[in-house]
Parts: sequence; structure tokens; C-alpha cells
Amino acid sequence: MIATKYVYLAPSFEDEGIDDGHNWIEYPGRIVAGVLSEILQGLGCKVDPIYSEGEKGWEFNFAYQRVPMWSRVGAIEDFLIVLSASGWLDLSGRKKKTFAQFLERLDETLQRDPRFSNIRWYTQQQMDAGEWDYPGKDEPEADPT
Amino acid sequence: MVFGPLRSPVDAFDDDDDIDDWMARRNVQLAAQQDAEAAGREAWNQATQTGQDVTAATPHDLIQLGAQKLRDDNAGGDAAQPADSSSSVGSIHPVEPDGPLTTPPNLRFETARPGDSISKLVGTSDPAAVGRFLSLNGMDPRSSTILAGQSYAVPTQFDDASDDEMAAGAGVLRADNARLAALRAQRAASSGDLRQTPLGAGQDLQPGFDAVAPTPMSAKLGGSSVDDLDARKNAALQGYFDGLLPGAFRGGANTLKGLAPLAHPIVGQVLGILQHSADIASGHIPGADFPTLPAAWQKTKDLIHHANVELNPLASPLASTREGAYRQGEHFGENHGEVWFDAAMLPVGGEVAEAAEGRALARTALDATGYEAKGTPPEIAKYFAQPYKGMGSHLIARDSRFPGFLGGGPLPSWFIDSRYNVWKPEGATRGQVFQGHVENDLRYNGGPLPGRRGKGSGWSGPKLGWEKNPPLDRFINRMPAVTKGTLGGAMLAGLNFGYDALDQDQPQ
Repeated sequence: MIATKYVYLAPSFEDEGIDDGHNWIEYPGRIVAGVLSEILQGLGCKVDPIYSEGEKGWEFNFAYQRVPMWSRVGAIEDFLIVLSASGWLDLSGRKKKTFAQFLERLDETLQRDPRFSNIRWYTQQQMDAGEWDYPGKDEPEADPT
Repeated sequence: MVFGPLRSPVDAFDDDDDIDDWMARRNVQLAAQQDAEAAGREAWNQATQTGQDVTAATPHDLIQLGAQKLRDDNAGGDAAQPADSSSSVGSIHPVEPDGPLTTPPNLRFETARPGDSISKLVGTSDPAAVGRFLSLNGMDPRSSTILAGQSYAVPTQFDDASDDEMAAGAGVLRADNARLAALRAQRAASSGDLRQTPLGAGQDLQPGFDAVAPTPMSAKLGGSSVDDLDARKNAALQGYFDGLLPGAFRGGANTLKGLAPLAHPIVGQVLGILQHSADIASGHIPGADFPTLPAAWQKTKDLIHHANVELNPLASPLASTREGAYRQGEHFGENHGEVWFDAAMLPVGGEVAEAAEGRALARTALDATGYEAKGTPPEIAKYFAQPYKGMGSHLIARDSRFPGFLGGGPLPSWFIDSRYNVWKPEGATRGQVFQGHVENDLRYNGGPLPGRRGKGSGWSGPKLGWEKNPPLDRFINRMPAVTKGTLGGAMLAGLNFGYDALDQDQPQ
């Protein structure tokens, strides 16, 4: 991937998946992914169908200004959305620039959208370093003994 | 070819002409080095005979000595020839002695032949001699590999060996003896043949190694000790067939050795090489700049040379004795047996690897109490301890498409969803699979718990202390065991061989 950013947000609508109390029959995230897909189409993106990647979440490909991109939506209390500019080569830097423009427009749209709140953006480095608002982050460490 | 100051080492070889130029120059350098080495040896021998004092403490010095001699010879070509041959040596690299020369040189130079070992070269298994040999030749004390065709400085005096040299020599002898004892035990266990007794002085054996009274090889081979060509050929052939089965067992042992640490997969050795290459390419190895390509070329040449010496019976002259010929044949038989085993493993390597992974997972699986003991909240611990029943993880993503120049379009589902592309280990718990996801998928960081809503309804990798693996580890770990096993058989065959050559762990 040429570049990846994360947005962690809370939807106002229900997307709780289907479970039997012990096992997931359908993981949460399909509805959020569907709403995101609509938003992206509103931004002029060409969006492919959404598919399940099991416990990893719901994924789809899309293109913004002919730059191929990819998204995954997964539930971790709130919903963590991964957005990537696909591919390996970006010699001219056009894909990164387009990706940055896309993220700006998406952020503006999400901020205005009443269906989403508590929107937090993270870089890959922040995610790798655990510097994101993951569940239990502020709780004291359990004593293994 | 002009390298500008701003060009990187990689850029410097950015077209075929550059590489061809470099290869040609490198070949000329290597040829000149061989000439210099021969001239150096000649000069050294002359100096030894005449008492002339010249300095060449290491094989590298010997080459320098020869190069100087060749330069002097060329410079003096137009002048009158010296009165005797020793005077030309005297002008090579003179050391002005304070008084008359009374101390003879305490080393000589020898070119190793196939079958030579350190002990064989120095003529003793005295740790002091072996340690001095290692020291003189700048060899790693952990290795006793002797490369056929290479010049070595051989100590003729070692009673003044330092403690470090003694320790290094003793260490090498110990390691070799232990390895050979293990090999002999393996042979005895697997074949139960006559060779439980030692074969006498052979290429790997350090003199004095065997506590058991040696059985003369002639007793096994029968007949007298007349070493005519036909007898030697027959002995070599017998040795070859005797070596095939132990070689196959060695292949099995090496393969299992590679499969065992599946937590760090069987291609960890490949990983190391790739990581090293990646580090060099990205400039993360200090000092590994311009000489990288020549070094790589030298390593490749070493590997080819090693393959030729180890696998091609025609690459080395037949030993002069029947015992030697038997050992020679046996050595090739073992190597060929191992290669055949590796080839035979290819179709079943995947199954073996899958089974090994299953056993490894079963061994490391935690129950709920085990997770709780590591600080995992009880509801998450209970969820993680249950068997995994998900779709697994695709090595090549489900939505991958052929590149445009291949017509585009999705990859076929028979491949995408095959067990060669989906990591879904049998018998694993959720916790094991989820930890694998977190550590090996950069974009997966946690998940939801069924039957819960709101706060406390999810778990996250960072909270559990799970960290991302380095890039190449991530790729390898996401590969299904059956794929690793299938690919690994072939890789291991090459790696077992390549490591023998490049790491120089074994005597040759």
C-alpha cells in the first residue's frame, strides 16, 4: 500500500452484527461499510461491492480520481475504518497527493454527517505504537498475579 | 563507466553495460590474484630454502608478496637479470635483520585439497596447532571449514600458542568431534552396518578423535593394500552406495530441524537472507555500501564452487588410496542421498508442515485460566480459549486481480480460497488466530465480543501486549503451513546446502 490512514468513529445507528451469545454469525460493520460506501460515491468515488473478511471486518475497493483505494471496516467497541491508497509505485507522488485530498474531503463530510461522532484520525505509526484510543487504553493494567 | 559522486551504489549498476564492465574488471582482478598467490608461494619457498627473511604472516600477505614480486619482475624486465634466483626474492619484501638470521620461518603455505582438514594440514590434532592455524588465517573460531583450492598459512611452530588460540583450537576440535560422533551414531542407528567402527583417517576426522581401535579400511574392502585404479574405483563406488542411505537420513534430520521452530517458520533462514538484503538495499547496514555487489558475486561463486565440489564426483581427482576413494565415494553418496530425499519430500512437505504446525499450536494453546493468568479480562479469556471457527486469513487478498497486462479480472476462487492461500490452522483457538492476525496483519488491531454492547464489548491487541511483527515475518507468518512446507522442502534443500557453503559450519 502506498499510504494508509485510520479513522475511529462512533455511529449513531445500530450495527451490532448477528451472534448467538457465544459465536458471531455475522460480524458487525456491514452497515457502517454500506453507509461509508454511499458517502464515498457522493464524493465521486467508484465503489466496488462490499465483502466479508470474517473477523477482520468488511472490505471494499474504490477509486477516487482514478487512484485505486481500499477500505476495511471493523468493530472494536467503536468502528475502526482503514483507508489505503492501493499499489506499490507512486513515482510522481500523484497517488499520495490525491489520497491526501480525498482524506480531507472525507473528513469534512464525516464531520458534517450527524450519523457519526467522536471522529479520530490516526497514522500507521500511531497505530503501530498503540497511540490510538483502543478499548481499555486508560484502564489500569491488570495484575497477572 | 563514470560514477558520479551523487550516484548510490545501487544506481551505479543501473544498466547491463555497467554490470558487464564490472564483471570483466572483477575477473581480471581474480586472475591477477591467482597469479600473485602462485608467485608469492614460489617466493616464500625460495626464501625458506635460502634463509632469506621475507614477511607473509597470512595468506593475504602471501598474495601481497607475490604481487610485489610480479611488479619487481616486470620492472626489471629490461634490466640485467639477477645473478641468482634468490636475489629476486630478496628484493621482494625485505626485512632488514639486526643480526644474522638464526630463526627459521615458523609457518609454511599450503593449498588445501578436497578432503583436507585443519588437523590434516597441520599434521596434528594438538589444540595449540589448530588454534594457531585459525589465528594465522583469520578464521572464525566457531568454524573449521577448509576450502579446497585456497591457500592457508600452516604453523610449523605452535608451542608458544596463546591461551586464546588454545581455547579456540580446543573448541573447534570439540565441536567437530561432537558432530562426527552424532553422525556416526545416526549411521549406526539407521543402517546398523559395519561402519560403526571408524574408517580410519578421512577428510573430516581429526587425528586422535576415535577412542575405539580403528578397523583398517582394507579389512572392509578386502584384498591387499595395492591401490590400483580399478580397486580405487570399486572402493569409491562401494562408498557411494554406502553413503546414499545415511545421506537420506541426514536430509530428513535437516528438514525436521527446519520444520521444528514453526513459531518462527521454516523459511526463517530465507527470511534472514531477505531481511539482510533488504537492510542493505535500504542502507540499514552500516558500511555495506559499494562493495556489496562484489561481495554478493563472491558468495555466489563460493556457492557454485561448493556445489561443484560437493556434488560432482568428477570435480575432484580420485584419492590415491582405496580408503580415501571409499571415503570420497561415501561423501558423494551422502550428499546425493540428501538431495534425493529433499526432492522426494516436495510432494509431501506440505502435509508434514501442516501436521507440525497443528502439534505446535496444540502445545502452546492456552485455556481461559491461562489467558487470565496473563492479565486478560475473564470475558475475553473465555472467548479466546474456544476453538477458532472463522474463515481464516488470506495470504493473497480475496479481491486481488490479475495485473492489466495479463488481462485484469479477479483471481480464480479455487486458488484464492484454497488451503495454499488461506491460513486457517486446524485445532487452533480463537486467541491463537487473533494474535496471529494482530501480529501479522498491519491493519488488524482488535475485534468485538459476541453478546455484548457498548463499553467492554471489544478487545484490542495493544491492550493485550501484542505487537506487530517486522514486514517479512508478517508475510511468512501469514503463509499457510501447507504452502510453507511445499515451498520449504525446495528451499531447505538449497539452504541446507548454501549454509554449508556460506556459513562454513562444517569441515570439508
